Amino acid sequence: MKNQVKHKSWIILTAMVIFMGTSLSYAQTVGEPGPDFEVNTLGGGSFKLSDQGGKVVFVFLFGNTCPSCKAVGPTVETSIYQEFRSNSDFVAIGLDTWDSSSGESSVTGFKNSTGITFPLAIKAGSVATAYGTTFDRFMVIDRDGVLAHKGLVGASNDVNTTKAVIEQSLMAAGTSGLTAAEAGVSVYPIPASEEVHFSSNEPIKQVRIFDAAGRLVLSEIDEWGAGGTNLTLPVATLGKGLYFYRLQRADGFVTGKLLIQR
Amino acid sequence: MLRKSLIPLLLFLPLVQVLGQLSGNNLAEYQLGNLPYTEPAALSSLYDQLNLAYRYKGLRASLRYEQFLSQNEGSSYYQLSQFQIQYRKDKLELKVGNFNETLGNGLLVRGYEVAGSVFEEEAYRTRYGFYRDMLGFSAKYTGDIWYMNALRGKSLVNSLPPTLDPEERRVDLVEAVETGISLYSQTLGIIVMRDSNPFAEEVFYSLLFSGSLFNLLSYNLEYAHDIADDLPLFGMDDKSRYGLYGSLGVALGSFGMSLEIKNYHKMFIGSGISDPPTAVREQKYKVLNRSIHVPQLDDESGIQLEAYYSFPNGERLVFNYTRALNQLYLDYLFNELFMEFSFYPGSKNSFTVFADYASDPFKFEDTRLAGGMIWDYSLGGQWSTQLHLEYQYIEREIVEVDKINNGVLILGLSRSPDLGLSFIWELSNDPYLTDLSGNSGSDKQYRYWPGLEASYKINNTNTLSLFAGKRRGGPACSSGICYEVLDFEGVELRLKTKF
Repeated sequence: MKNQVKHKSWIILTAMVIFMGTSLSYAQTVGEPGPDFEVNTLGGGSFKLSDQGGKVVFVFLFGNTCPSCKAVGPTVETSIYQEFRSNSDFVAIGLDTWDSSSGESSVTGFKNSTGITFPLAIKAGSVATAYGTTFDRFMVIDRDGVLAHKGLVGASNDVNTTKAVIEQSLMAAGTSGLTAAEAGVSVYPIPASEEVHFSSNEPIKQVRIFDAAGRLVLSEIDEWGAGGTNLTLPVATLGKGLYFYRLQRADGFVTGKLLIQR
Repeated sequence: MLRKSLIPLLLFLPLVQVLGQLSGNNLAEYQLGNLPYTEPAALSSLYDQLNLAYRYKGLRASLRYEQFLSQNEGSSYYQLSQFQIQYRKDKLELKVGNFNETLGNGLLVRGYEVAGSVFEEEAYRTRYGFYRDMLGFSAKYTGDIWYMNALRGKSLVNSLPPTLDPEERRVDLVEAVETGISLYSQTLGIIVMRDSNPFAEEVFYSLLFSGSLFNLLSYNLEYAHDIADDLPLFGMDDKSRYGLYGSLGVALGSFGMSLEIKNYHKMFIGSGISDPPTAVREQKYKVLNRSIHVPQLDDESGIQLEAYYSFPNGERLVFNYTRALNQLYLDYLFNELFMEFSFYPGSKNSFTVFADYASDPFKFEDTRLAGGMIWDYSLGGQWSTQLHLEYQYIEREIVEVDKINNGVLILGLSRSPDLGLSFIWELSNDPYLTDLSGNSGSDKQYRYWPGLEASYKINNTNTLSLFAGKRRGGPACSSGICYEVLDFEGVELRLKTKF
């Protein structure tokens, strides 16, 4: 009898574990259009994402007294902002997501302690919510308004990846707005399984594949300068899912989605 | 949504009555109120955390169910947030599911839970238990001489709320082994740890030495370093990621002393899976706890020295000195001196007084002075009263020098062990708090936080707590874990149940 009760309780516990494993979830994914937002910036003025058409937008999400955000601030200024600020297609915005203590004084304190010179916005927690992220994180929105990078780790560990994504997004100037078909590029098969073939009416210099998190997972370069118009990449080692390719030609880049299924 | 989320809870109630092997506890917290200057002022929300455990011989199964219901759109959730199967036999312990595990002193991996805390994420306005666990498995063997602890799991990013994709809340896969030997009260150990996340894969090792000598002195030393192709395996050069922590404790009758040293460089790993010892004194005083120095894992070195002397009549004197240097873009040198004296004049009085001086350039606070007292007076029987006073003066120079006053007054009445009643009154003219642009409070010179707290232990299994009024938030640290507590205005009712 005692054992029966024990067995029964195990079964019920297991059933409850299965029954209750549900939760609401939402998150903005890399490769999707970034939701528009408008925020008020320190010292007056505002910043609206949709007004930045054609520019690459770097976003630094912070909390006004968050210690790790303050520590990484000078690196954000020197290694990211100062690096790209001369490019007229680049814009940076800092968003204070700690709304309840976000004001002129606290954000001025953050600005002065970090030496950040790009605009900082007050009470911008709603942007973190809309993008499914938090403070001490970076994001990059490309010139087409698509979320190109959403940091998943602490900002201090995400500087190099973010710089690479900004660089790639800025380099996509030549064919910005053009589809693969308009640029004379064909990619097949889609979905792919073992290999992906790229064909272009202009010589291909390089093809790079990024995963949904913006991480470079495959790269093929025309290192001999042969000027071929066809290139094949083996993708058998990549897991199933959505990827992004960037095909470089002499006249610029073509970007697009790549689905791998098996 | 409400009906659906309550079904699992209702299922549990009869089970608790029927199955004698089950034990657990429940924390229910209802709030009617909101952050200051936030609409609606009377926001209604309910958080509930249920922990259940079932034990049979060496086997233990446990789970945690959390739910949050709020009028705020998108912030409600219900979920099974933890489950664990644990098996223990002799010197072996196996765990599958969610677990909190700390290796060494936490320089590389630290799991934790701040017991009884409910964390509210500011942007999402969602409340949830404050812990950083791993989802995976661990195995531990603790022999007489040799021990080993191995784990593999995905660490929780607890700054992201449960309303987000579970995958995004666990981005770091941690694989680690700690092993060592203990002989003659001396332990020598090593840890190897690999952290993989979507952007990087990093490997670290750590060496551990700890023990005691002559029942007089205890020591603990850990040195951690990353293993990278192009860098040396040992050293403290700028390119390396390393951590050094040491502590030394001496007890000589009524006198005791402890010394801690730390040197952390680029030790923020992944999304934040480590929490090295802070080597900073944690304070029970509100003004000091809010101003606590939070270590910068990008670069921090320093010491903490604490000494105490217990007088024959029970009086006690504590002295603490803390120093921390952060070599970030600029150098920031933090210094703090703290003294506390406890004494007992007469048979009914208990006094503790403290004084503190700090210089904290990282916060632009070159001068920070604080003092205060706690007076307990016994009314006879089980009744007593408390008077708690704290004052803090800060000079903060951002654009111009702000002279900031922070004050705390607490009047308490309690009947041991079941009843407590306190009136709390706090004030501040900190521009960070009074100058909130766009808020109705922006023109106020001072802000005040009056509140009433009551707790009643109904019986051995149920404790009811009530807060009404305004509660001041800010940084809080507990057991080396620091987090932000939000302001609150309204009524909060909390029921803790054990069964």
